Amino acid sequence: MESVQDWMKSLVDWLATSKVAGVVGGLGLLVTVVGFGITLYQVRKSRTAAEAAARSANQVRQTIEHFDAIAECATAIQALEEIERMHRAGPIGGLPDRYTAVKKGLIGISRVKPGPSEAHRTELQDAIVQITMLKNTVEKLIAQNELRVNSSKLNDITSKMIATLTELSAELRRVKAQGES
Amino acid sequence: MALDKMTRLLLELVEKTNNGSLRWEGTAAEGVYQVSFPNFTVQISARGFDFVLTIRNAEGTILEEAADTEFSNKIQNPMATMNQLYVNARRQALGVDAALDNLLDELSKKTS
Repeated sequence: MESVQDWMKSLVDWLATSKVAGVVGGLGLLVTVVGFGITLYQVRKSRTAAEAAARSANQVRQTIEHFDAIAECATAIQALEEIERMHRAGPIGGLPDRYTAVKKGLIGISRVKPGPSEAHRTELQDAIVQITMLKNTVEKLIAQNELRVNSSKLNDITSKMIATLTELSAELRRVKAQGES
Repeated sequence: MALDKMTRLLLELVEKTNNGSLRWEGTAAEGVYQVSFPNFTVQISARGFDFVLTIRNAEGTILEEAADTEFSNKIQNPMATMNQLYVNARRQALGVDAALDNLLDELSKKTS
């Protein structure tokens, strides 16, 4: 009985003959190429799946952001209506905190992605600075112990902001609906 | 360097205001008018004997301010330039031209 060592030696000798070596080499190359192809296909497939998942997650995030921005518009409009009443009837001491709350909301809305149109971003920017000016003006009046503000002038500004936010809310709804369809 | 850019900004604002391509608006503060862009707002105001140009960012914070006196080495008669900008911004914000057009229109109807 041949020892394992002898058997292995004869196997290697047989494989070393040029004809068999060529076939084995060719098969090896084929297996390598096919394996590499399968690997490339799997990598591509998983990358496409990962990209699709990322796109889907991004779409969900944008839908949530738009939903939040629409809700923020409604909250800001409500707060501005309350501010208008306070401009008319006072007390003006509570106004600065309300201006700050509206400003925070406006800044949040301005950062939503995909953002509103350039015209609406300009109007939002205008509203953010207007509310900043309102706060500075009323803070000065409070410091001077004034009890009333020029409600006609200030409500002109707040009414314009309400109109801007109403239009913006409609635009965000449109963008959200397009994103969902 | 910043003043060079502020000077260019001032001259652009004067030109664009004169040709009616900017929309100036009044603010809660007396004598302060502003025009907004998607990320920034520019204000022109009268403070005592000075006219001041202010740039505010997307949070309403002041980024840069320059009074007419600061442009004295950059342009001729900066006070007149800023006064012209202030007057035109105010006229547009208050709708003076629109009011005059309307009045002239009404008067022409009365005479005809």
